[in-house]
Amino acid sequence: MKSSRHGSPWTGLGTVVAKETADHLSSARMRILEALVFLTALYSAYLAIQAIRQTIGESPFLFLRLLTMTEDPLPFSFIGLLGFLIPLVAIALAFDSVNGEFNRRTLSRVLAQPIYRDALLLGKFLGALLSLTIALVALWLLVIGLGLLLLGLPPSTEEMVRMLGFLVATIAYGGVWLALAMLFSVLFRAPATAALAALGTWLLFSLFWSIITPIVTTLIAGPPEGILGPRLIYLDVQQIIDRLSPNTLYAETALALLQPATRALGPVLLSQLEGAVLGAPLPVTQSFVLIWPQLTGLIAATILIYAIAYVLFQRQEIRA
Amino acid sequence: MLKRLVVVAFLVASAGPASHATLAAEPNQAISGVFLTTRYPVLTVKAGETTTVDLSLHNYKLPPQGFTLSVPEIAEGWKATLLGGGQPVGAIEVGPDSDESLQLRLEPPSGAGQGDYHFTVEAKGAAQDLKLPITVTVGKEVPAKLKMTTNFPDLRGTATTAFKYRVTVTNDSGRNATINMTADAPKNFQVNFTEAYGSQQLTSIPIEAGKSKDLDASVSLPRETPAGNYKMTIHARTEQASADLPVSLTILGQPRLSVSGEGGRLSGDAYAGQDSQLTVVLHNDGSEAARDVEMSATAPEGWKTSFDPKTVPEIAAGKSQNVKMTMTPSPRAIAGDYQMTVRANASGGIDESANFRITVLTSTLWGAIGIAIIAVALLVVVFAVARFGRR
Repeated sequence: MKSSRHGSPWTGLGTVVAKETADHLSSARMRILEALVFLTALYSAYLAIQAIRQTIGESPFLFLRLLTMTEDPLPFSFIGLLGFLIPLVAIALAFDSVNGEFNRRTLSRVLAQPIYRDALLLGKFLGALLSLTIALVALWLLVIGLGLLLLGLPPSTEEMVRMLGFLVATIAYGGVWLALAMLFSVLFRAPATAALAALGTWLLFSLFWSIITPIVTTLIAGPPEGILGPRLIYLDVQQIIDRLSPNTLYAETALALLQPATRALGPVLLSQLEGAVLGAPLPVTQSFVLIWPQLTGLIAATILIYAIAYVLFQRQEIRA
Repeated sequence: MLKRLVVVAFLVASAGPASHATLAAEPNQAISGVFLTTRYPVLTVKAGETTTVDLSLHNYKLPPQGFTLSVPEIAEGWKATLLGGGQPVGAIEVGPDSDESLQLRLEPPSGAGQGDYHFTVEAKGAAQDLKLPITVTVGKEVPAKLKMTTNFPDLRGTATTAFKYRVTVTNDSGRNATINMTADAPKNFQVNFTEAYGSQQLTSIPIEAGKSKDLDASVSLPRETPAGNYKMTIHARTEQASADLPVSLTILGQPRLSVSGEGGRLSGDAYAGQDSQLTVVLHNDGSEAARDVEMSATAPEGWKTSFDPKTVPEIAAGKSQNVKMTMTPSPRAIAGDYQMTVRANASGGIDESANFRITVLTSTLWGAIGIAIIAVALLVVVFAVARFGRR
């Protein structure tokens, strides 16, 4: 299979991205999803603001509390809601991206143009990611605006840096699910199967992972409690398995960024806490150092899943 | 006169026995004339005291007449003044059947001793020359006297010691007195008087004759007072008497250390598992040099701390000394704030410490590894493109 390419593989990428983004942004599917996410997320932020106005007098990180507070009647905080709903949006955007074209028999027609498959797949991915990013940035700005309006004070520089980091992490988290849904749309010819597979994975990670983790950990590392109390090896293995889920990675990132007092995300020995001033906020850079593995993990996972989808797509017979 | 007696006899005859008692109550019907009298012509007074003698000039049944007043006999050195109605008077008139009161004021000379002093007051009228001799005896007087004692007149301590003298003040004079307490102390020394076992500060205290009271004289002095011997005098005064009590204070020099960071900062940064330097400033704001100052630190488990120099042989009074502290947080330390205590021990039981807040930063090495992971993922994509890219 030695062959040399004529022209750049990026040819037509811009066109594909523009077309895909335009399609997404004007589609009814996207509007329904946006309405769902915006309404629930804004409602949760609004409830948090109400609670802050009533209860909290002074806190150096008021704006961050707005994103992390859980208020009745919603069972989620703003970040919990995003962690739950963003995979849904990403899956909805990408589950039929490739097999949909195939089933409508438009794939051969598109590829008859001077566009490589590379550009088509990357363009579809980037188009979906761009749509998701636009929606998320809009939501992020809305929440900040709501906070400014109802709390009546501006966020500090540190808060802005932390919230920007949170936005990037949210986009990366959406990217993982986009890439996964795209992988399934390459893998399965029927869009319904692809959607089901993607939703199944979403359910697995968002609902059942916390049930599966202890079972698998016990199988690998033995019982959680030893004679002298909790066993460290069990905790370590549990954490490793837990962190296979992008939801865990995202939740940890959001927690460390938006709650500055978070100093560690794993099990901490009592000896490590000796002399520590608890409740003191970590410097921004240290919070980023803390979540750097999680953030890079999310980004790397996105790239890797995309690479698999790419390899599969390249090897696929598409004439039909 | 005869005619009047006849009338009275007539009245007696007509009124009977009941009216007779009325007549008996008129005792001076037989007396007539002008008299100069005083109640106590011989009296005893205290030495040094001005005495006033009340005199009375009475006229019985005589027409009004005037008298020239004088004091022809005055004891030597004394000053005698006749007063009428509060003013010095030289002559007096007295109406029939009335009396006028006068005062003789006698001022003794200073240092008038015991003994009898004779005076005569003379009232000279047209028909009469009245003389009234008065004798004043100066009695034996108890002189006003105060006594002040303390058990421990010489106290010793450092400038921060609470010095207290227990002073017993005795009023040995014959009269109750209010005693003012003052003290002559070196500049900036403050002396406060309180009643013994009491807390209320006072400036004067009443003491009955012959009684004594205990007072506390507490001395507070500036912390910067140099070592040395200081003399003070406690004074007790009344109008008549005073007593002085010399006391002394021996102030010993005292070093006083303070531990802080550079510019007063009590915080610093350190990387987990790496050496970090922090400058600790030792300042001696006491009045004597601090000797053999030894540094130590209490840090969380797994931390290493060392000082350069570990011991400072001497820090002169008012001088500062920088000590470099090298600390190495545990490699497993979690990022964030930690508290550590830096302690300086000097000879003489001086133990000073300061709490430092150390922000532990973790190495950004993991950040680089994270970027490497992303690079590897991108390399995989590049490889896939190279391997599977189609024409």
